[in-house]
Amino acid sequence: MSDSKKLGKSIEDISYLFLSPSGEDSSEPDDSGQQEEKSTSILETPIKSICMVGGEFSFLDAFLVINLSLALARLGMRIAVVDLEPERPCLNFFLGTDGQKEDSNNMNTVIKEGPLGVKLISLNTSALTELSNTAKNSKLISQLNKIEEDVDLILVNVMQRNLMNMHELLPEQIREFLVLTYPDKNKMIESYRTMKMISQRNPLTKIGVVVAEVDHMYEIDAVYDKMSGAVRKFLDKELYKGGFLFKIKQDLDVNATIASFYDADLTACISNIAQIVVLRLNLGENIVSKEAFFKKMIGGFNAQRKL
Amino acid sequence: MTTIFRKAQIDRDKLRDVILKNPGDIQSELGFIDFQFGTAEEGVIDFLGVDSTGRLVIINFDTKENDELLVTALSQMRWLKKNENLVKRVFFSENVDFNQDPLILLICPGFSRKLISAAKELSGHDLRFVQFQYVISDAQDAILFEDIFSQQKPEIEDLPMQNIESLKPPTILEEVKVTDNSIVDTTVELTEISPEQEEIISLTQQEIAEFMDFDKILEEKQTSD
Repeated sequence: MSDSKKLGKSIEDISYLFLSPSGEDSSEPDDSGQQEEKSTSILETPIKSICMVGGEFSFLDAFLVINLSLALARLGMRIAVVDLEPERPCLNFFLGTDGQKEDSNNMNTVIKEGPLGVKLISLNTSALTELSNTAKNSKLISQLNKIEEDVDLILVNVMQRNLMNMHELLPEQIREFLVLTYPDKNKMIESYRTMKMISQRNPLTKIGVVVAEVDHMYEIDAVYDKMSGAVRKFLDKELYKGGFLFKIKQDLDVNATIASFYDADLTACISNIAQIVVLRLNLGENIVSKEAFFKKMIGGFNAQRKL
Repeated sequence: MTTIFRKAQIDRDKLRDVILKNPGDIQSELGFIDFQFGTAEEGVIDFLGVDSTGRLVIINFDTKENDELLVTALSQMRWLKKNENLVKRVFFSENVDFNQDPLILLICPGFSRKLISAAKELSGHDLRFVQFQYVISDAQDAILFEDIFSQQKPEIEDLPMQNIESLKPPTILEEVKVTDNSIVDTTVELTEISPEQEEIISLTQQEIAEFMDFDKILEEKQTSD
């Protein structure tokens, strides 16, 4: 079974992907014939991307994005995570702050490779400033373009408060947003504000809700019903259920990394979210133009700086 | 001597006269600016009034229990908003404050439990249900008005302090690259962006009010679980 066909699988086939042992889900092609088929599929299938919009709790956002990327990678998808946050929470969660400092003088710190071939790209303002000097960093830009060609899905991580700034930079290709929402009316209002901004920018964008910090199951429907009701009423838009995350029960260490923090309940929740993402991708609703993702983002940043 | 009254059915014209002549008994400082106000596709508004704050009051009544009154009044309110310029021209001399959302006031001999339950979900609207009882004796008749349900949408100033805080635009931090060449680390300083630089998405009071009953919904769901 080729990787390229996994994105086009039917709903019935999804169960097979989840039931199969992870060892069988190698993201590497087995032979050169499959490699050829993969290259063809990249040309035929434009890049897909989902923007994960977190709340105020950057650790949880990073936890969700990184674990979701790994869950999707286990399903055979080739994933790139683009972290737009100034403090690079995804990079910290992947490497720990010490690991990040070790090669902080190396521009390649922008691109890291994690387990299961997941590419992690930190594109905060500093990184974008560096990248905007194309003469100096043409190699890095071509690396990004290569990643863009190779991956099936780009997961973009940004928090609500920074989305206001970064929104103009996000390429038009992003037609799918997953917004983290909490069972708290004030935080829901902020999530709604984010959805309004997303919707105003592009009314065709699909928006999903991930209900986080869930204590009781009834909170999930309550949050979803309230959010979808408001969005339907005022923005004339339908939300979709993106899944949920239980509240983290452990005492949190701000330096927690993927190696030091594990929560079985949350991991199960993330598997569920991954399943929803795969189903959404199969719907083909967010397939858009082939215009280069990173080129657009860096170009947008340059244009904004000139203003 | 005690007068004995019996419940009786009031006819529509008589009830209209009673209401028209006694607006203050329906709502204090209520004044009528029009009655039988046609809204074309949404039917006729029985009375249009203005309260002491200048808020428009849509008053519909019926001589029997009628759940449809609320739906009709809501659609009429929508019509008034849609045709705001026309309504402003018609009532320009009536000191109507069109910045306020209208109050819907329904008058009926009874309101179903289902209607009141549905109305509680409409937290973004000002609603008032008044029940009446018409009674007659051999020599005279009387009508008793009684408030059954009243709901005001939360105003910004009514919101708890924590909500007010949430309405303020969030502080957005922008990264500034450190220019000191002696520092090799890519540590960044954070400086606040001025409000002028922010792209603030403002929310209307109705949008905010939509979320104000969430705690109650959670409580109800917790109880039912």
